[in-house]
Amino acid sequence: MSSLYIDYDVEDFAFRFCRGSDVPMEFWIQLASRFVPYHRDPENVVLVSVDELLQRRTWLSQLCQRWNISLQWEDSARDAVGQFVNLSVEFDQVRNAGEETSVAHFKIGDLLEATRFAGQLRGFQLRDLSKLVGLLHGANYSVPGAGKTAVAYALHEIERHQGRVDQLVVIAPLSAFGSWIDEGKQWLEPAPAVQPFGEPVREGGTVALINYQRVVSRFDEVAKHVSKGSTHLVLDEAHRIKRGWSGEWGSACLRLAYLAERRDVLTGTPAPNHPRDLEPLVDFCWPGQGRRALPEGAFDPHPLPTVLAEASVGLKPFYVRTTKDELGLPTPEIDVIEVPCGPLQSDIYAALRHRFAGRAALNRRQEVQLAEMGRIIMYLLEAASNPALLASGSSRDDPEAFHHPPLEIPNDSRLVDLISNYGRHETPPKFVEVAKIVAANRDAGEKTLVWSNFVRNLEWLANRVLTAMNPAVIHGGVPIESSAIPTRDEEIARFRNDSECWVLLANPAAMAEGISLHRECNHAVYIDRTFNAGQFLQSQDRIHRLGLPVGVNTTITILMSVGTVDEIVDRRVEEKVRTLSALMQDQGLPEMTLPDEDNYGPPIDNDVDLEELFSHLRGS
Amino acid sequence: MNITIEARRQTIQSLLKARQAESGEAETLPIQWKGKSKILPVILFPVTDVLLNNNSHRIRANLESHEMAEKLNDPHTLEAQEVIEAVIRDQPGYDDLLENLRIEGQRDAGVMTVDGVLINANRRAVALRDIDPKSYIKVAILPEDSTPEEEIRLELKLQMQQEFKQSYTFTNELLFIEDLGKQRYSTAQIAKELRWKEQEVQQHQQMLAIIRDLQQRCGPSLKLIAFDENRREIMIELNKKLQQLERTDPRAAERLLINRAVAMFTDVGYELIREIDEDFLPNHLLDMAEEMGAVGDGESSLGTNLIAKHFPEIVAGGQDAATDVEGLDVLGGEAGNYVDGSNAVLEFYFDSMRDGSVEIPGTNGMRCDKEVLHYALKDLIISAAVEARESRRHDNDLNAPMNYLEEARKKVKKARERLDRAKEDSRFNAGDYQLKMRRLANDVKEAHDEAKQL
Repeated sequence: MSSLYIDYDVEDFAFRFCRGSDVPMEFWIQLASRFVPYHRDPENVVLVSVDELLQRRTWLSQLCQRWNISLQWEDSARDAVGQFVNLSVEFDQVRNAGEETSVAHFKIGDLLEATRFAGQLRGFQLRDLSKLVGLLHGANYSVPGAGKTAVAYALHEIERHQGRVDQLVVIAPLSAFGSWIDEGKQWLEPAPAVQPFGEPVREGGTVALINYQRVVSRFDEVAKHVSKGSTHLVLDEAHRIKRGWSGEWGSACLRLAYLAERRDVLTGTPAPNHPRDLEPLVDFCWPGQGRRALPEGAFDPHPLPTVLAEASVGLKPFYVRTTKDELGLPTPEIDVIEVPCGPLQSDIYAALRHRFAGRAALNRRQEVQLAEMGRIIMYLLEAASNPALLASGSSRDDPEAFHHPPLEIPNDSRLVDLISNYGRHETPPKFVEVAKIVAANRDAGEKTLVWSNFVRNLEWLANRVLTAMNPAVIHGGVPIESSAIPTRDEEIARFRNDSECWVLLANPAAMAEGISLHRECNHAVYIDRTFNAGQFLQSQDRIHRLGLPVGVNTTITILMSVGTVDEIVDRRVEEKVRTLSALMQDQGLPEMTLPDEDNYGPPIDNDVDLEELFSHLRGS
Repeated sequence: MNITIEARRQTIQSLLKARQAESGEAETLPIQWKGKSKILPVILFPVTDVLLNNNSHRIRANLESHEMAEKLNDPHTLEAQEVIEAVIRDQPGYDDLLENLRIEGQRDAGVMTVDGVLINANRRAVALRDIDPKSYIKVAILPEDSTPEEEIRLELKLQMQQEFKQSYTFTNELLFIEDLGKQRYSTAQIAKELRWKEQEVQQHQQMLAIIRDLQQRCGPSLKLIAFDENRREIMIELNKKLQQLERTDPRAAERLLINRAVAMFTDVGYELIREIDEDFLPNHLLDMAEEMGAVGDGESSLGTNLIAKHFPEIVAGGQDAATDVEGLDVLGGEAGNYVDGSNAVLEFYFDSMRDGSVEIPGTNGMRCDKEVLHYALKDLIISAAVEARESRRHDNDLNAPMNYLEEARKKVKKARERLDRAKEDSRFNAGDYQLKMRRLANDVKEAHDEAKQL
C-alpha cells in the first residue's frame, strides 16, 4: 500500500505531508490544490496548517480511503493531530448539545464549598459559572462591570479542586492588574499570590499576570511557564486579539492556547468593529474551530446587519453573557448643571466661534473634516471649560487623540490679550462650581471623582482650586511604576484609604478600564466631555458597578457651559448612550467598541456630530 | 519529414554558420534567457524538417485525450509527429491562421532548439506545411546548452506574453497552470506573471484536480477535452461550492460532484446544472424517474421511460464497502465513504460509454445503447432540474399553491394540443395517454376535495 509520511512543525503549527514512492500523481494533485505545495519540492511535499487540517480531515480521510493510501504519522504529528481532533470533536458535541452542558446551580454551591473561594456570588454570576463549569473552555461576554473577574476566579477554583489545572495565568492589560490583585484577596481564602509574571513563585500557588505586550516580547518564557503545569489560561479584555493570527498579540496568544489545559476569554465587547472579530476568540478556546463556528457572511467585508445575531445563535452554547439590566443596578442620577460663562470667557468663546465658522464647510472629504474638527473641538472644549488652556496647547500627558498645538492667533488680535490675561481676571466658572460640589460632599463625609479630558485642567484644579481637599490625581503623566513620584496605584490607594483625601482628579483615558471605586465614591463630576459616548459610559462604570451597596445611589453631575459646544455634546452623547445602552441589554453579541488604554477612540466619531458642530459654529 | 536527427542538427549548424558570414543586417530575436536578455540568431529552415513539440501548451489537453496518445511516448517518431500535426489542424482558429499566413506570410520568428524541436510556432509550422510543403519557416535558434527545463520555462514565458486567456481552451489553460507549478512557480508568482488574482490561480489548480478525480472514477473513456466547450462556467461554479462543502460536509461535496458531473456529461446546460444540489437524487431525480417510468407496460421503447422505470435498480448498484486504511483513525473523521446512488449512475453511464451498450438491471439482460442511455438520462435530469427550479422559485411564496395550479392548467392545455397532432400517428400509444389521464384525474379529485375543506 502506498503511504503519505507526515510530520509536524511546532514552530509553524503546520503539518508536512510527504509523498511516498508509489503515491499516484492524480491523488497528489488533490492535496496540492487544496493545501500549500512546499516551494522547494512541490511535487512531493505539501504544508497543511492546523486549521486547514481540522477543517478538511473528513475530506482527507475519504480521499485516502478511496485511493487506498495510508498515513504514516511521526509521533509528534500523531500527538498533535490527536489533540486537535479531540477538541474539534468536543466542539461539535457542545454545539449539538446546545445549552445542556450546564451544571445545576445547587451543585455549583457544593463545588465551590470545597475550594478556597470564600465570597458570595450573585444569581446571574452563578448561572454563568454553572455553564462555564460544564464547558471545557469558555467565553464570558458579560457587559463591563458584571463581575467577570470573580466568576473567573470561582471557575478556576473549581477546576483546580477537581485536579484539572494547577495554576492560573491571566493575560490582561496593565490597567486591569489592580482588579485581579484586589479581587484575588477579596474572593479567595487563603489568598494566593497574584503577581506580575516573572516574580518568583511563592508557596501556596501563584496567579501570574501578564500584559499583552509582554506575551509577545517574552513569548518563550511565558510559553515555558504555561506548559510547565496544567495551566488555566485566561484572556481578559480578550477583544485585543481581534486581529488573530495576523496580529502580534493575537498570534502570540493563539500559539499559547495550545499549551494550556483550560482556556477562557473575557470581554464585554467581543466584536468591537466587525463580526469576524469573534473568530480569534473562538480559536483561542477551540483551536481551528473559529471559521467553522461563524456564518460565512461574518467574513464579508461589508457584513449584513443580521450576521452578528446569526453568529450569536451559533455560538450560544459556548459563551455566557450577563446584560446590564441583569446587574440590577439602580440607574445613576444624571444631573446637568448649566453654568453661565464668565464675561471674559464669553468674549473669548464668541471670537473663537467666529474664527472657526468659515471652516464649517460641508463639501470636503469626511476624514479630512473629522481630523480638522477633532482639533477645533479641542479649542472649543478648552474655551468652554478653561480658556487659559488655549494659549498652551495640549499637555504631552494627554491621550494621543487629544494632542494639539496652542491656538494660532494673529499677534494684533484682541483674542491674544483676552487669552493671555484670562487667568488674572477670571476663574473659570466650572471650576468654581466643582469646588462647591466637592466641598459640599466633604461636609457630608463623601468623596468626589472629578473628570476632565485635559491634563492641564486636572493639574490646575489640583494645584490652584482644590488643593485643600488633598486631591489624588490620575492621568497619562502619572507613572504606572516608579520609585520616585507617586504611582497610579498609590494615588488610587490614597483616594481609597486616606480619610483626608476628598477628591480624585482623573482623565478618562488613563482610567478607562479595570479600576473600581464604587465602594469609596458615589458622585462623579464631569468638567468636560467629548462626542465619544463610549468614553463617557466607561468612565461612569468606575463608580457604578456590581457590588454597589444596597440603597446607595450614584450621582453623575455634568457641568455644561451655556451657549457653548457643551450643549451640542450633551445632546449627541445622550442619543448615543441610548443606542449603546440598548446594545448592553442585548442577550446576543452586539457590535460595539469601548475605549481602552491602547485605543481611546476619537473625540468625534461620526458625521452627525460634524453636522451639529458645523451648525453650532455657523451660529444656526 | 524523413531526415535523421544527426542530419537535422548538421543542417541547422551549417545554416547558422552561413548566417554568421552574412552582414549585420540579418534578423535576430531578443529573449529572456537564464535571467538575462539574449539575442538569438534567426535562420530560415525547411518547414517539413522541424519537429513539432508535444509539450506545447496549446494542444496538451488534446494530445492527452487523443485515441493514439500512447504513440507520443517517443514524440519524435514519424507517427507521433503525425498525431501532433492532426491535433493542431483540429484546433479552433486553425483555418483563420492558415488564411492569415497565406496572405501575410510569417511575420515573427519562432524559437527552435539546436535539435530542431520547435519551442513555439508549432501551429504556424503546420499551416506553412499545408500552404507549401517546400516552404521555409523563420526560427531563432537556442544555444547548445539549453536544458529541457529551461525550454519549458521559455515556452511558458513566450506563451504568457501572448493574450493568454483568449487563445487557450479551458483544459489547456488548466494544464498550463499545472506546468508552471511543476516549474516551481509559486501560486503568487503564477498570478503575477498572468496578472491574475492568486485565488484565481488556485481555483484553476483545484478545477484540474477535480477533473483528474472524475477521470479516475470514470476510467479512460472520460477525456480531458470533454471539459472544454462551455464547461468552464460549470466547473468554476462547481468548484466554489465544493471548496465550501469539503470543509463542512465532505460527503455532501462528493454527492454534489457526482450529481453535477452526470448532468454535465449528459449535456445538461449551465443554468439547469445550477439547480442541482447534493440532495438532487433523493429530492428530485427519483421522483421524476418514478413519474416518467410509470408509463404503460414499458415495452414501447428502450428510451427514457424504460431507464426511468429501472432507475431505482440502477441507483441501487455499485455500493462500495469501506476499506480499512492505516493511519486514518488519527484524523478521527467518520469512517467509510458515503455513496448514495448517484455514484452508481455515473458508473452505469461510463460502462455504456466504454462498451457501447449496457445491461439494464432488473430486465433479464435487456441492453441499452450508449446513445439511448445518454438521452434518457439527459431527459430525466433536465425534467428533475426544471422541477427543482420551479419548487425553489415557488416554495417560499404564499402564492405557491396557486402558481402550481396555474402551471398545471397550462400544461394540461398543452398536452391536449399535442394530443391533437400525435393521435394521427399510428405509433401513438393511446393506452399510455389514458393511464396518465386517469392518474391526473385522481390527483385533481383529491385536490378538489381538499380545496372544498378550506
